[in-house]
Amino acid sequence: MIKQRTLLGLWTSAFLMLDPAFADEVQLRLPVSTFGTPGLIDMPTGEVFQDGTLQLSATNYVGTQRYNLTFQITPRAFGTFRYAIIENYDGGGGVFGARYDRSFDFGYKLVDETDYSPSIVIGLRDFGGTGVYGSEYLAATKHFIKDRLSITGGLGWGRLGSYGGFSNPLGLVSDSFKTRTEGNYGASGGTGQLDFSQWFHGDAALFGGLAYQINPRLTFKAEYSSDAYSIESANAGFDHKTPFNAALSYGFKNGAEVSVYALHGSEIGIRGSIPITPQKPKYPSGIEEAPPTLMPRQTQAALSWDANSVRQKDSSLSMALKDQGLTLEGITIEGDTATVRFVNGRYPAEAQALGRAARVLANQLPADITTFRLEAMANGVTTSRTTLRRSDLESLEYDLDGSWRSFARANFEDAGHSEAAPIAGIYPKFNWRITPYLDPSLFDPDNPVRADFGVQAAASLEPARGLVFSAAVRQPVAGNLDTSTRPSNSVLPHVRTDSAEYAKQSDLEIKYLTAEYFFRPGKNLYGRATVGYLETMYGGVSGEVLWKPVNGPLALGAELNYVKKRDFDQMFGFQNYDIVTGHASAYYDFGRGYLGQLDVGRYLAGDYGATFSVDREFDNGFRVGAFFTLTDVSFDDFGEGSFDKGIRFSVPVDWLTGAATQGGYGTTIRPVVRDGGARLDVRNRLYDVVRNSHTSELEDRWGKFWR
Amino acid sequence: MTVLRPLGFMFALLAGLSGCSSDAEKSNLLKELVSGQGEVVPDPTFLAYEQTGAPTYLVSLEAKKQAYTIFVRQTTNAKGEETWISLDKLSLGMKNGMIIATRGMGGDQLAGDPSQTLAALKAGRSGVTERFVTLLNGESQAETLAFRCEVERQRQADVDLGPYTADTDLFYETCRNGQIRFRNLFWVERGSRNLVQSRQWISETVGTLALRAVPR
Repeated sequence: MIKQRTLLGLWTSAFLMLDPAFADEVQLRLPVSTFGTPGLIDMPTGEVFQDGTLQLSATNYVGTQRYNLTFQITPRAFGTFRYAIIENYDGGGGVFGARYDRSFDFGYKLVDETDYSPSIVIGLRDFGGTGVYGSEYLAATKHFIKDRLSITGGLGWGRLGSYGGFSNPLGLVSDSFKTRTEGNYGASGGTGQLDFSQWFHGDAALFGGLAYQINPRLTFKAEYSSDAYSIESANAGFDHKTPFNAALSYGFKNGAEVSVYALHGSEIGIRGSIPITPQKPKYPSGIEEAPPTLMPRQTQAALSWDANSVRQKDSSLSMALKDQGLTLEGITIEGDTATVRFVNGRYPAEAQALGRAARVLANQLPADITTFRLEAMANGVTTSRTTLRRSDLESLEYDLDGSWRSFARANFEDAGHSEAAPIAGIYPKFNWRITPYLDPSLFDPDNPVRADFGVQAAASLEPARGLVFSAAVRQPVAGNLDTSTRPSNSVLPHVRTDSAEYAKQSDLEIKYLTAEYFFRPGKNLYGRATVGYLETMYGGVSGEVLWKPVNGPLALGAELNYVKKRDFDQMFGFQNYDIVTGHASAYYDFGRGYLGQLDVGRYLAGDYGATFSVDREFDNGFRVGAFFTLTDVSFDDFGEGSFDKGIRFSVPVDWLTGAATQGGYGTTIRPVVRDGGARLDVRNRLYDVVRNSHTSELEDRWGKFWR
Repeated sequence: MTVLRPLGFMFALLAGLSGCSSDAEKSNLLKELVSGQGEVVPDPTFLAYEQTGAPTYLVSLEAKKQAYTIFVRQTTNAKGEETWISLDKLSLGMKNGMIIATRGMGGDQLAGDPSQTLAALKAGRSGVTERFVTLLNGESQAETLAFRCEVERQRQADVDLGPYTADTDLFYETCRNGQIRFRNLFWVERGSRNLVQSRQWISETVGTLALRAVPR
């Protein structure tokens, strides 16, 4: 548990009163184990990371590498994905016997630390992988000497019960707990199924240790390990001399750590970790230029207002909005109300676009127009209408609570039909971009990092509102995506396992070439029709309908596609595999950033089933999620991994750079890509297109309204 | 002229943002990267107000050497809140020389209420005041902090403003809450009781701004 310490009054000079570097230094460092979880060296502790933290870490000791990613999912629960390379694990010598192991951990803090009692964590290590590290534990940690010393004691099962083990105390509950099937943490390897029946079974053993923060930079750690390293000792020449491990860690200002540790009296290892705090981008408020100053009514611009020319593309209102990265598409003035339709081409936070549009309107429109109705758009369709009063803008500009008050006084509603008359000459629109691209394929069973790097040219043409023709062409320049030597052994139609062939047999690639039409079939309803080369591997027709009220947490959707598998060269040809695939989807915003999604339907290989997803989206758009899919394909037919699952991330550009630029960088990591439970990867699914300007998202980033 | 606005272009490059595009803005990122800091083209609105002889401040950023810019007052609203704009497109909300907001500095103050401190300075008395600051945090949410401040007159001080030297009283305003401590400095001209020079804390990200009135 991290306890916030009060800053000491450190006055470096009369002018520089707050030293942020020092603020970081006094923060307690939370030890990270070689498994990337809260822990000492190999042993876990009864602690968890700060809510939302992503902890990246890597460990290396002779013959073993571990790459871990731990996410503190909630204040109490954390999850870890790990990629380990263990030489000689399966015997055989050299790299041939190396085990490339992907595993997941999960931990939950049962009890908080108090003045008199420790915090307690229950954890599962490698619960869904092949069982190399398969173990369960209960660990308790208590801090002393102003949090500088932490003492941990725990009870482990599985691999964590393999040294100094004794008969399982849970045997008192049921005799079945006393035995654990061989192989759960053995060499044979499981199948990736959840092995509930083995958890907390077999011998148990005690472990423990301490971490002492010598000074703000240095931490010493020592532990008694209950891991016998049996397989490594038998096959990989590991020498388990003592159960004691020790480490010295150096912490950097940004929270990163480097440790050197001694393992079981025979190995020296090194470990590094870097925490990422999604809630804290480098530039919390962004570095884009200041918004237009809100001028008093009857300014020069407003006085020269000309109701006739405003419908021209180059009116002063259009120009002033354009200056803010907003495109005016329609305007109607009736009595004291102005209704405008605009496209936000700049700000990731729609609230910021609304705030800037409102100020421009206030500066440009005559004083007797007192109500602004702002229609937000996405891909040519109106997605919401926000009503703001001019007098609120004027009174809340520098109000201490102006952010929340302006949100409370705004009204949000559906904009099924636009009520702003169109501006002449907006369409057709043409856009193009040439950019570098990076196409990674992470943690496949033979190589942790595969990627292609190259140049992409993309263009789009919108002849009329809602109709979009777009294309992207890629030329790989360098990379190793095409070096995979793993032929597909799938017994299902090869709907995804041929991905290496697409990398190998292509040069210049058509990534997509589509015609899309977006429309509003009715209130709270959105529609999409897409035809063309939809994604790398499939082309065809895709249709989708979404019901999503502006103010509600629930959305429902349905999608139907007929697709054909594309030729490996990613040009115009098709192979002779075609399929009708589609899903009914339910989306639910649980609040506090937790989003759930359920998709039920038919997948690319013709299998029927459902995908369960949960994402945590921070208000600033940083997103971390996990999903799994169960279909009527048997675990055996599915092959390695038993069923499709993975984790995904998305980091907004403005989080990284501070600049007001839309879009983000994201990737999905699957322990293994197979053909069961595979979904079409069509662009612009409606839920994500539409939601940015709906109330929940607007509220999340409403602090940007006045920015 | 060095700009105050923080630059994130290295990140942009790492993120693979650079490229060319029909959207001039996105292409600019590359240009600015190549030319180092990005050329500062003075904001035409700034120049227009500057030429009318509107009040002006020279402002520097404490945490960054040689980072300074010029602000000019653009407008004052019905509540007496002023908006000042800089030649590099930042803005400040001000009230009688006290900063009540910033825009564009990376860790902005959305709003602030230093009215008690201002009253103490205007009256020339020492005392304990409350100060409120609303920051825009990393999750795009407004977050209001309250501080307990001690305003203390230190001494008489001469401030060289160029055309003339102002005879001022130097005040310290030392503020704290549970996590943060900062100290503001105000040079209050005797007679007019105007704040001719000051150092004012903005946020943990930005640090402190130093302001000096430029006599016109």
